[in-house]
Amino acid sequence: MPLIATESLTKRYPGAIALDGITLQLDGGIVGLVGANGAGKSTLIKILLGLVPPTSGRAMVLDMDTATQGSRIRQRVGYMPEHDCLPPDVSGTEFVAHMARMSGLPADAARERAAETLRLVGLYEERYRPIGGYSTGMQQRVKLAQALVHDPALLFLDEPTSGLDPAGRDEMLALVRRVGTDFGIAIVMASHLLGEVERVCDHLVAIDSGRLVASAPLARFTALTRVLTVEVEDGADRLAGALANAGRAVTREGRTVLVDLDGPPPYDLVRDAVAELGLPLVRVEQRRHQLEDLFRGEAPFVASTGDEQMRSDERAAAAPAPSTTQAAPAGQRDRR
Amino acid sequence: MSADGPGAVSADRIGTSGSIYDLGYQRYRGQRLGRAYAFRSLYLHGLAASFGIGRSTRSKVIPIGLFAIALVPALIELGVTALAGEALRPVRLDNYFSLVGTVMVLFGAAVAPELGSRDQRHHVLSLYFSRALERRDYAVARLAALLTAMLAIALIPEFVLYLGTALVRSDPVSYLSNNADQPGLILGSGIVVALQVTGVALAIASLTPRRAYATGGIVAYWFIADGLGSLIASITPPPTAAASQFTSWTHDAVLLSPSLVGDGAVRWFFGTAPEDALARADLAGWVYVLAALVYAAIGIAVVLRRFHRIAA
Repeated sequence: MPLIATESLTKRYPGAIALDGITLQLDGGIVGLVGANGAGKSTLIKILLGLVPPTSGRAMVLDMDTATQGSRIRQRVGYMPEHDCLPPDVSGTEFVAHMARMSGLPADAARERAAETLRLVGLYEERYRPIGGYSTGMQQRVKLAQALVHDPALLFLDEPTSGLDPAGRDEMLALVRRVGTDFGIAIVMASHLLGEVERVCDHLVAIDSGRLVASAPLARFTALTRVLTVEVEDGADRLAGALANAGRAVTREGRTVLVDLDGPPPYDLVRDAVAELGLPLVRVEQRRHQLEDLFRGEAPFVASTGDEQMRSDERAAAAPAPSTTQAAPAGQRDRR
Repeated sequence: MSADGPGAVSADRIGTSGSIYDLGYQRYRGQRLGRAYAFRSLYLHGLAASFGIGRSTRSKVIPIGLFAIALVPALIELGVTALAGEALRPVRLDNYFSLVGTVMVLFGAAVAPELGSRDQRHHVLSLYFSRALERRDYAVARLAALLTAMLAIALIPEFVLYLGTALVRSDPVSYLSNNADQPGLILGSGIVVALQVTGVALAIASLTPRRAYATGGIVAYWFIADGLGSLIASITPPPTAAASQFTSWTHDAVLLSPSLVGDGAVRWFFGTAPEDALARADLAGWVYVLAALVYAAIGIAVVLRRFHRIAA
């Protein structure tokens, strides 16, 4: 059973398309949802929560349809919104216990879980004081606690580090990682910061202007490329010339020379050329994909296999992706 | 009983090893009571909040004070009756609303923002709507909480007056049996006026996240509409040849005044003759009941629509 499955999910607002035919399947772990501000991350989360109806397409969460079983889905998931959402005049314990009851926990259990969850996210004596006096970091923890208090099967976090200083950011990311690994709760974390996603997530979903750019395990995005990077202190142009004369496909980028690895191994050739020209060599390494390439459209795209799917756009189409799926017409139906 | 503090948890688990408080994450395996329970909890939470229960002392003062004020006419009447007999009866069940209607409105103005505006102000709605509750559940729970609080103000003083009047009589039992229809009338009229005030107050509060605007809006609407209704109703067109047909036109403006509508409705229940502006308007009593219910219905519709549409 996939945790989340969407089919041609589209959301149009008057004059704008927030989501454009997202077809996606996620099986669990910690999923990073990346995209620039306004890319459609929050809209996707709200549709998955059943808070916003899609214009067309469908979405299943925990094997339940968001259009018809929204209430049952919401009992089993937790949601931490990006914006402020805490009343200042009640204490952390009171508020989280109230939210636990709103999730269906009996009053006693709600109180116990509220105290325990606040302790797990790192709120101790402060939890009896009114929330209005909390620091941003403490408020973010309360927001996380209210999403966790009913022990959800799946947690949606929308920009959980929003407004935090670097230290608070580190602590929150460590906490998210811990919730995902130690607590064993599946997480979908939306962020516009690739660095954050890289640090805590196992799987990455990238959207851009409402379209799915990629969905694959994180490792796939940083896989080795078929390019050898040779960096020299100077004389990169002479090195490039020598290698080109020897019949290799090369390009020069500042002080580095990129050698295409297709064909016979070029390592001896590079070593000899550098030695002959007497160049100061800095490093020789096989280049890795970088997460940033996703939004730059430079590198050829990551291949996806099995159940991971990739939306067809120019970059994805250029990649040798056996399972690249077009927006699936089957089962598509208009909802409104 | 519940393991509240870290100390309480650690005491029986850590033995001699010192302060290890982290027991790791515990799965919740207890009951999940679902949507109906969440609705009930929100309703009770809202009802308690209406009287400032679970809030600071300061937020208890106004609602409980207003409730006390609504009781004052009944207590005075009972005191006077006990001391001086029944010669004077300024406070009766059928005019109780005209005496404490303002108190009910002020109660609505104080409490409706707590129920209708506060969660908007602090953006808490998205946390409710991402749980078992539906948007409609939220709106209905808020309406029900305010209605219940309003019924307490509308009904308790009148029942105090009714039962108290019986007790100060020489023969309470025969008084109660002679007036056995009164509890039903108190209940019926109380429900109508409580619905009317609740619908109007929560509708106005739900339209703004700002508490001050909500309170001001409720008070302003009520008293401006009252003033306008009374003013127009007090105009008598100069008598003309055709005047006999049209003189009552302006008098019907009493329907614009929420207080006069409530007063007329209550008098219809108790079957007493209308006075002043209501007498001049000369409308059938049930028209006021209908008007009160229409006001309530419009208010409820506004609340439902607002929480159905509001972004969260």
